Formats: sequence, C-alpha cells, structure tokens
Amino acid sequence: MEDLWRIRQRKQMSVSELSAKSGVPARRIQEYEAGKRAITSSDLPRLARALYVEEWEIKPLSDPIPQPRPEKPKVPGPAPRPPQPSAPPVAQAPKPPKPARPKAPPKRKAALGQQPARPSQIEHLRQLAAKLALDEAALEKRAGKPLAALTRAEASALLNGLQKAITEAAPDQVLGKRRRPYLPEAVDTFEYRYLQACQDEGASLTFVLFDGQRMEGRVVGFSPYTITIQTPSGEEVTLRKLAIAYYRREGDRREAQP
Amino acid sequence: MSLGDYVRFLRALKGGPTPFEMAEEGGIPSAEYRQIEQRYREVASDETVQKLARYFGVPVEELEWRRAWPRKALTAALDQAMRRGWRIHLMLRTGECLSGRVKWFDLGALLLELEGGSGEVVVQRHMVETWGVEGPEPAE
Repeated sequence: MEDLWRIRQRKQMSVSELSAKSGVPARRIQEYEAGKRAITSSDLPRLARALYVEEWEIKPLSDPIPQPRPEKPKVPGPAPRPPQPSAPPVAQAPKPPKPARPKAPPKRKAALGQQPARPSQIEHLRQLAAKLALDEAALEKRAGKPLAALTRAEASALLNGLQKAITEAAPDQVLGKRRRPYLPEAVDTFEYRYLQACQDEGASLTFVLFDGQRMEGRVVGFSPYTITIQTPSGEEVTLRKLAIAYYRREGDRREAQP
Repeated sequence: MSLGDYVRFLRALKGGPTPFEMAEEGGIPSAEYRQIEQRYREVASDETVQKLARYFGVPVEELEWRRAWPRKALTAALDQAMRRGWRIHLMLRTGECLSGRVKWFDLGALLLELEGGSGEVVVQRHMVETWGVEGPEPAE
C-alpha cells in the first residue's frame, strides 16, 4: 500500500488533475494527502480508477507529505543609512586589479603524471578492453609495457585511446553524450488510453491467450491487471493480462484483408 | 520473457503463493525473490535459481537462459526501434513471431504496427521471450 500523494506524484498528476479526473474535490484530496482524514469508501474507487491502480494499493490514511527543510531565517542586517546630504560626485579612482592566483607549477603536474597509474585507472582500462574484446596481453601490447608499469599519464592516454576506439565501433553514440533510453517503467498510460478508446468506441477486440486460445468481445472494463469483455453471446469474461499474449481490434484485421 | 516475468507467470500457475509461503516451502529467500520479480535488471543467485526450478518443477536451464533477457534490455530494444523507426521481431511464448514497428510501449504492453498493412496489435511485454532489432541494410 502506498500514500495517495506518492501514487499521484508517481503518475505525474497534479491535485487539480486528479480532482478533475476522479470527481473528488481538490480540497478533500489535499486533506487525504495530508493525513487529516481517511479516504471514504465512496471516494476510494473513484481515486483508484483515476490513478489507474487497484483500491488496495492506496493507503486509507496517508502519511503527510514531507515538507522541505525550512530555510534559515535571515539575520536582519543593519538599518539602511539615512540619505546623506547631496555631495558633489567625486570621481573614484579605478581599483587596482587583483593579483592573479598563482597556478600550480607545471613541474608539479608533470611529476604527478609520472607517478604509477592508480588502481582505478587499471581497472577502468580492463573494463574498456573487455568492451573491445581485448585480453590482458593484447592490452599490454597496445600499452607497450605491462599494466603495472604504466604511469598515470600513460594510463590516461591509453584510456582516451580505448574510449575513442569504442566510439568508432559504435558511431551512433556520441562521445560524452551518453543517452539513457526513455524508460517508462512506471508509466502505464499508453495501454490505458488504448483500452479507454476501445471501450468508448465499443470496438470489438480479439485476444490471443498464452495457450493459443482466442477470445473476442467488446471491452466493458479494465484495470492494471485485468480486462473484462462482453463476448458476442452476451457473456462477460474477465481476462487476466498475465494470460494474454496480444490483442487487436477487429477492424484492423478486416482492413488487412484485401 | 524475462526471468522475473516467467517466475511471476509460474507463480500464477501454481495458484499464486506469496513470497513468504515460497520461503517456507521452497527455502527461497523472499527478499531476493521480490527483487527477481520486481527488478528489471539481471538478478538472482545460482543457488536461488536452482531452488526456484525445484519449487516450480521446471528445468534449471529454462530459468537460466532467461536471465540474459531482462526487461530492461527489452526496454532498450523497444526504445531504439521506436526512436529510429527500425523493425523489431518479437518471439512470443505462444511460438509466434511478430514483426513490425513500435508505435508506443509502456510498463506492461507495446503497440506494434505489423508489416504489410496487417494492422496493429497490442502485445503484452511479459509474453515476449526474445527479440531482435533490425536496422537499415548497410549501403553497398
């Protein structure tokens, strides 16, 4: 079971959207979310349907939404000075430029590069080599010396070379711009919309189940885990999505036929 | 079908025992079992896979090969196919192979536009055993 506000946030809905979708007043939703009152038995199915979850998934009494830490109160500054009697403007002399912060001496940087490679660099080298299907011997051949004898600078140069080789092997990936695929693992709205449209239109669907059995009917209701259909004989059957392989609109199949 | 989807399916076939009951009867760590069902990555120790196979009465190999086909990998394939308009082939548990272009996908299902104007089908993701994305033919 989850708090109402947590489910709503997960579904990326605002209180007003949930209110419009469920028909429950926004003020009452806010009271539910703040844990001021338990969700009534009449509101629970409406909220569950609007959020596209089962009723038991919503906590009857939510824990209040954690509030962000209050900002530190600002210490009142000194009172603004009263305006001084106007004085003739005086040209201010330009401030002398600040002396630049001295950079690290190049000698020190060079000395760091000559230190033995860090273990993390060696580990990273091995990981990249594995991506290129290079074994340890091939990697050392490419480095020109044993991995243990590499300096930090040499390891760094070798890492850059391997990264470049990986990029060239997969030219569609831009170096430095790794794109994470859009992972709608917490979004189940597409199928919801599809089924809602089928139900609204009274479209007939054909279902193919995991054992090859076929069923046909109009959608009369659905939940995240089930779809209820009315078969041509008028019987209502609830199918568990777990048992469904795929389904399609009847019209689609007719269109496919010449 | 990923290992997580498959054991969920087997659990349903067995009458829906809870992870707690499975821990009592089959010695399967309930926390790890929850991870197997709910995580979309490659999880599960060898020992637990063997216990699961014994508990459900299926060959270990049937669970083993599914570890390499987690839901996250299917998501990546669907994302790639949809973004680039590439063809995807889905091998289903029913033994059928559906090929086409992905129009949308979400937590539980995907809409596939079948080839040759054969219409659209909504495929339940847990029924997809293996898949393959087909990019454009390399230019000669």
